[in-house]
Formats: sequence, C-alpha cells, structure tokens
Amino acid sequence: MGAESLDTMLTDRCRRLLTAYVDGELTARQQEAALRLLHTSPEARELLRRMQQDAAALRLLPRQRLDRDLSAPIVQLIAERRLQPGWPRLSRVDRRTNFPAWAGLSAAAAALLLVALGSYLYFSAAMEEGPENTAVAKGETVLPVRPANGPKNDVRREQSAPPKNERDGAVAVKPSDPESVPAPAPNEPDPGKAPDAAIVAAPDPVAGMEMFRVAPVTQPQILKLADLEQAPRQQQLLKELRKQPAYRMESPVKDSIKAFDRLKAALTARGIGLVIDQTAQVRMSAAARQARIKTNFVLYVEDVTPEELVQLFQSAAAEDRKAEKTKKDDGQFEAVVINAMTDADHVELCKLLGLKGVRKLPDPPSGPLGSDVRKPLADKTADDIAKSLAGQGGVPRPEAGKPAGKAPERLALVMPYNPVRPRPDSPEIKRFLAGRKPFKPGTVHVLLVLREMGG
Amino acid sequence: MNADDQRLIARCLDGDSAAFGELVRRYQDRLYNTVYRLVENPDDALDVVQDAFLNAYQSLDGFKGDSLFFTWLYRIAVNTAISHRRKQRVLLSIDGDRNGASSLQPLDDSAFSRPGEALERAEQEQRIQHALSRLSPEHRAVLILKDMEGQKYEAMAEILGVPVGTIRSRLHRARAELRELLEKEEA
Repeated sequence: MGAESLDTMLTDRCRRLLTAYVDGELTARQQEAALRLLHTSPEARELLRRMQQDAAALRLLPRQRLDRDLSAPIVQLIAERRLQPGWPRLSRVDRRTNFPAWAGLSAAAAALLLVALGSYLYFSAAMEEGPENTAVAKGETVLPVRPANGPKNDVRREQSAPPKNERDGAVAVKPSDPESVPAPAPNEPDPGKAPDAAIVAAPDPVAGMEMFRVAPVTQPQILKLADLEQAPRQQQLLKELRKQPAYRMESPVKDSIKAFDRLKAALTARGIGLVIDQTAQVRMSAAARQARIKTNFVLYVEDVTPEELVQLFQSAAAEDRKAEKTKKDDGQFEAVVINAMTDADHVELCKLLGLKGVRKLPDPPSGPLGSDVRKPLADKTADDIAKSLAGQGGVPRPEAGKPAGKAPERLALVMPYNPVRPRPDSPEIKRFLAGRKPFKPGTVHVLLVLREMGG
Repeated sequence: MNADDQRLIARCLDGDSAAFGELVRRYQDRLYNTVYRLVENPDDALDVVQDAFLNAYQSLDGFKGDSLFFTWLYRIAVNTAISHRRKQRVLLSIDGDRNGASSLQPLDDSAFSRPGEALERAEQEQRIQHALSRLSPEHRAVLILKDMEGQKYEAMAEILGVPVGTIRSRLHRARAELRELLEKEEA
C-alpha cells in the first residue's frame, strides 16, 4: 500500500494527529484520540509505522563533527575586525552580492519582455499555418488512430513505420503522456510468431535466484495498560510477545522522570538491576526536575520473559492507579506501542551504545558467569573494582552494618534518548556491555522509549 | 538559561572575547551538524557556522536571556543556512552531488557485520540524504530540528521565527513529502 493510498484513506486531521504522535508532541487529549485511532484503523497503524521508520532513518544519519576547533580563529577574527557586541551584523551573503538591486530588476524585466515577444511570434506563426499542423509544430509525435477491432500488433507496425498521411485520422500524443499508447520493447517477441526452439530449450537464467528479498512487515500492537486486568488481553499479549526475539516499545508519558521512577520500582522488584548512564542521571537530577527539563529516556533490557514483561506493565499500571488516588491526573502510562525490532532499531541501539560499525548488538559470549573471554583479565578486574567502589553497575553497595544483598542477575540500561544522547565513552554503557550474560531460551530483548508528551 | 552560558555572555559583554571562544567550543559541533545537513556542503557549513558565531557576537547585547543561548544561536545559524541554501539551490541542482562526505562511506571493518552491509547502510543514508535534499529549505529545517536535534515545537518556533501552528503544518507536510520521495525511490 503506497503512501498516497494511505493518505487518501485517512482524513487530514488523522494524519496530523499521527505526525504529532511521531513528533512526541501530543497533549493528553490528543494522545487519547491518537490511541483510539490506532486501535481502530490498520491504515493509521501502517502510516505511523512508516513515519516512525523515516524519523528513525533521519536520526541514524551520522552526526557531522568539525575536525578543528573554531574558537581560536573566531576570537582572532573578532580581534582583527575589532568587532564589538552591538555593532551592525555582517553577512557573508551580503558580501557576495556585489550587484546593485536595480541591475537584477532590469535583467528580470528584459527576460520577461523576451519571453513575451517570443511567445507572440510563435503563436502567430502557428495560427497562420492552421490548426492541423499545430501538433507537428509543437514537436509532438503523431500516431494514426488504431482501428477499434484491429489486432494489437498492428499498432506497433503503424507506429514504427512513418505515417503516410498524417491528416487521415491523426491524433497528437505527447511523448511523455502516461495515457498514451506505450511503445513495446524492441526485444519483445511477436505474439503471432512461434518462439524459437533454442530459446525454449535454454535454461531459465533466473531459476533458483532470489529475485526479491521479502521485507518483514509487522503491525504495531497498541497495549492499553488498563486492559491488562483482563485475563484474555494478558493471554493475547503473551502470545504476541512470544512471536519475536526483540521488541521496540514506545510509551507516551506525561512526565518521563516520574514514569521512569515507576518502572524502576517494578524492575528492581523483579530482580533486574539498573545501570543509568551519566547523562541520563543528570537529566533525572533534582535540578533537572525543578527546571522541568524535558528528556525522553530509553531503557534496554535483555533476557526477560514475556510473562515478566506482562507483570512489569501490570506493576506500572498499579503504581499509576495508586498515584492517581493521591493526585488526579498523575498517571503516567496509558498505553504502550509494541513493535518487533526492525533492522533500523537494531542499528539505532548500536548507535546509542556507541558501537561503531555494528548493525546489530552481538550475542554475549557464552563464557562462565558472563565474563568476556575476548577482554583482558586486567580490564575486567579493574571494572569490578570500579563497580564495587562506586556501588553502581547494578550491584548496590551494602549499607553499613548490613550484609551485602544478592547482586541482580540481569541489568537494564537506561539512557537519554532525546534531545541528548549518551556520551560515546559512557562508563555505564561499558559496564552494561561487560555484564551481559548468555540468553535463556524463550526470553526477549526490549528497547523501551519513554516519550514525554505535551508539547 | 544555563548559568555557565550566562556568566560567559556577561564576560563577553565586558569585552572579554576569549569568553566567547569558550561558547564557540561548547556549541560548534551541534551547530555544525545541523547546518551541514541544511547546506549539504562541508565548506559552506563551516562558513555559515563561522558567520553565525560572528553575528551572534555582534548581537550579543540584544540577547535578553528569555530563551536558551543555544536556541538563540541556532536561530541565527539556521536562518543564515536557509537563506544560503535558497541562493545555492540552482547551483546545487546543476552541480549534482557536490558533497563527497554524504556519498559512500568507507566500508565497515567490523567483525560483526556481514558483507555488503556497510554498502547497504551507505546507500540507505544516501537515499535519505537525497530525499532530504529535494525538500524545500523550510521543510528540511523542521525535519532536521525535530528528528536529528530532538527539539520541541516551541523551541523550533522560536528558532525559525514562526508560530507553533506553522511548525506543526510544516512538519506534517515535510513528513508526507519525504515519505512520498522515499517511496518513489524505492519503487
């Protein structure tokens, strides 16, 4: 289904709503409307998928960096030109335009006059020659009319031969007119003729070749968290989550920090430790909360079972309900859009993790206790020491006088998604990658984006 | 506004141009990436970024601090880039792809990638960049600011100097146009 046909099926309002959804700029009311639309319309889901794919492709374009520090030359230019704040601004574009304004206007007027004169001469000559020659004068191909009951191949014969009498039933057909009769390919066999035996005997040159690669097309699932109270919906979700090895999920939330806090409680309750990237930590800090700096976060977790995911969403919904009782409209998660992870999602994940030249995160090595056999021991040991000193990396430092708790077996990585991205040298990401363990069968990986709404 | 930026701006206004150097260092890469995507040429992008910084320095006394310094700087750079792009459009269409960097990138040397993947990725990037280059400067700017820079509608409206409603419409049309161009290429 092409974009144009999708466009005609959906109203302009619906399309605008979906655009705002992709942009993460919906108000709470619009969000409800968008989710309703996505529930009911497969066309809307398809259009959303395509637009999200385009947005992801744009995000994946490599970031260009300057190979030099501009500060010194700019400061030097400021000194050389004796520039001061408050002086009239210079413009490179202005410097390049050396012609006075009247010269451009005169040139435009002269060109217009020439066109007008040319048109007049052309049309007056055409009128004198008579209407039957107009098509030839215009340089159009003239084809004789094909008899209504004539055989098809006659058209070609007539077309290839020069027309004997163009005046007899001739019609003008523009060469580029899509409605015109297309000229058959020169190598096309004559249908009236028997095929050459040698051609028939020759093996099919494309037999056994893969002509097209079938692109996996999946429809996003919209999960309303409130629906998870119903057993059939739970079963349906479980069934869906068992179909693919990895999912990208997007949840429009009112406040991404609050939403993350609720998810965090649900994750740790299930023995999943959190590794929070430094940039994300800054964006979750008290100062950021106070300044209401909006940030979207992304959480990546591996080796979770579909059952655990359902429980996770149920816990988040329960936390929301609890919060709603205390403060109206404090619920964060209304719905989650679930998609199988596409190639583009895998590439995006690798970029987030700072892995250069990798299109898909490779499976963790199957060495003992998740140790990376490719990594020198000294590095691993240094990491372990750093982890225990920092009390991070998913292994909380025990409180004084209390025994050390059991380290979580699995880790979830939390990174900022927009407008900032994790630093390429993020130690938390390195720690997460170093702590990955072989996957258990029947588990899935999840990339969950918490997208703050209300733009 | 960021307290650090504010401090540096105050120093600039007191005549300390070295403080402006710090602001340049802080924002040059982000600015360059956006401008580069708008003008599609590394040298032009460098010129526009440099001009934007110099213009910003000269207009610094007019910066009231109502918005982030970066948003304000963006506004100067994006508008310079858009007008530059408009003037260069005809030249670009004759010149074809002048931008070597957006063409095929060196092959991926990763052990994890399968053969041909780097080429596919380069082609995909080229397709996107090509479709992007066929959009009008205004449509291209909104897509870059939203998808590549993660700006909100309000900040975008401030940067481009248009109402939020215009940003919505432009983004809507830009996405539809981009989709159409990509589908045409795929077909």
